[in-house]
Amino acid sequence: MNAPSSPATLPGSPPFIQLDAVTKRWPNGSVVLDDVDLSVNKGDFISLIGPSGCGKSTLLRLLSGLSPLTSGTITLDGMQPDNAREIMSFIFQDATLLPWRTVLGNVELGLELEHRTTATQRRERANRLIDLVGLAPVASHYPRQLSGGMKMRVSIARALAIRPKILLMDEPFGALDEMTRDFLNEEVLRLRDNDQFTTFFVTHSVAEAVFLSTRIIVLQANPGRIVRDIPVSFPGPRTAALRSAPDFLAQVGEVSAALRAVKTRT
Amino acid sequence: MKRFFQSIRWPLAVFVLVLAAWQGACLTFKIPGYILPAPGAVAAAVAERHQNLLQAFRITAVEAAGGFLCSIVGGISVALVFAQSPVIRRSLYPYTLVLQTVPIVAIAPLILMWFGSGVRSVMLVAFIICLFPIIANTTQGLVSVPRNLMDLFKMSNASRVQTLLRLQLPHAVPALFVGLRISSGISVIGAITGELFASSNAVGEGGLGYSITYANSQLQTDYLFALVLTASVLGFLFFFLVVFFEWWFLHHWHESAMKADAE
Ligand SMILES: Nc1ncnc2c1ncn2[C@@H]1O[C@H](COP(=O)(O)OP(=O)(O)OP(=O)(O)O)[C@@H](O)[C@H]1O
Ligand SMILES: [Mg+2]
Repeated sequence: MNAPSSPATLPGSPPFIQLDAVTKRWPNGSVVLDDVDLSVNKGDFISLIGPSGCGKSTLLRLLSGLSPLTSGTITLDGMQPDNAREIMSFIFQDATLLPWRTVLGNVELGLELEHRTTATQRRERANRLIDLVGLAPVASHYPRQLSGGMKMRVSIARALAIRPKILLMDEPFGALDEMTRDFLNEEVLRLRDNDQFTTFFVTHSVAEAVFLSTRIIVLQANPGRIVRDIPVSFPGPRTAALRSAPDFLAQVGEVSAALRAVKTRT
Repeated sequence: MKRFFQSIRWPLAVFVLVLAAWQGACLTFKIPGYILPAPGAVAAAVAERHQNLLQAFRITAVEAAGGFLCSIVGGISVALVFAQSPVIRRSLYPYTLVLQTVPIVAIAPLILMWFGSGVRSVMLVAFIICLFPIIANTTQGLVSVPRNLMDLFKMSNASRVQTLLRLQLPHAVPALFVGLRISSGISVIGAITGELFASSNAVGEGGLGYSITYANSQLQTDYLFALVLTASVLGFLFFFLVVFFEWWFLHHWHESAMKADAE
């Protein structure tokens, strides 16, 4: 079932992220996630895709420890979700910026709450990330002065500022127009070259998932289960040109078909 | 500046028109001055007794401001406690409603009885009347932080104090100012009401409320009008001071800083 596409972990050593028989039942009795097993290698980019309500957001909240498991175990780099927050960042669908802080202030937030850096270190790190996402000219602007795409980039910079090993993204680009989305997709790949974080990425866009991922997990609803696990790899580098390559289109076709199969079944 | 005059052009026209009609009515119907003084007579009273007016204005301003400032400190403190848990809120909030529903004129005599007359008792009346809008609005602001923002802080392992100071409190500032706008106006009403009951009677220590009872008993209706005018100037002054601070604090980041309903 596992098709590691990044350098495999040493044989015998546990995988970087491991989900064992993960089940989530709401207090009202409905089961969102039923007996989910998954192991993920360091550096993987996992897209979660599936019909609305199948439990993608719930899975991210379980991974982040924001929501407790009903049964099963999750291990992240050897830790329980509650203890792994220091190595994780969560990027929400809306950028969730603090409106009373400037771009710089928002990017500094995570570092500030951690208390592990001095003010100068914080400033320096935040400014570097702001540079990296191309927001240096608006560093002193407030969120209300930014476009949706810019806000999202601030949110990404803030998440990366704490140098997370694991990045959780819940439909981060869902509210953006296609051009901005494509542009940010390329930016995410570029940032990943810099910093080898392991990513869980929820999306409704098959093309986006194929473009970014090393693995695509297709979920079904009622109850939420993993139905397909599709490795994605391309021979060349992933650039904007990839989007029109036959290889890429074939992959998109395959994932779309898998997704259609799920939707018609439920 | 030109924009400012353009914006007050119409209210100004109404003002002049009303004054003219008023003056005209007083002259043509020969209304006695102790029933309705003409605007001219009121203006004369203002000019003639501006020393007294200024003195009364100063006293009432100190009383209202004292009560108002105490209610800001007290109201925010209570709201911070209320924000700690829904249980605290549910058990104590109904009692703060009493502040809002009990008529202040019923409490003022009690305050006089318990604390005697003087500036401090008057401040207390203003304080009580100002408290509720600040508690209610600030609490609302503190507890209505969007869930994603709370989750963001949780993901950063933020402590309770960090969450309160860096998230809930700044988020509550626009709501706090809604409360402050309401309270700024009624602090003057509170101080004047307080003076009716608990003002010091010593010479030169009576504020606007005290002077109003005095002018009324002496049938000095032109002076009474001058006092009422002064009181409303004081109320306006407080209100605009709050609006100024609101702008000062919020104009950088809040969309509706200058609108009447800042969420
Ligand atoms: N707090 C809750 N209590 C009870 N049921 C919930 C709760 N939160 C979510 N659900 C239910 O759990 C199911 C999964 O929700 P979830 O948000 O994980 O779906 P999703 O896959 O992210 O969907 P979408 O693609 O629309 O974002 C839904 O049926 C939802 O109604
Ligand atoms: Mg979702």
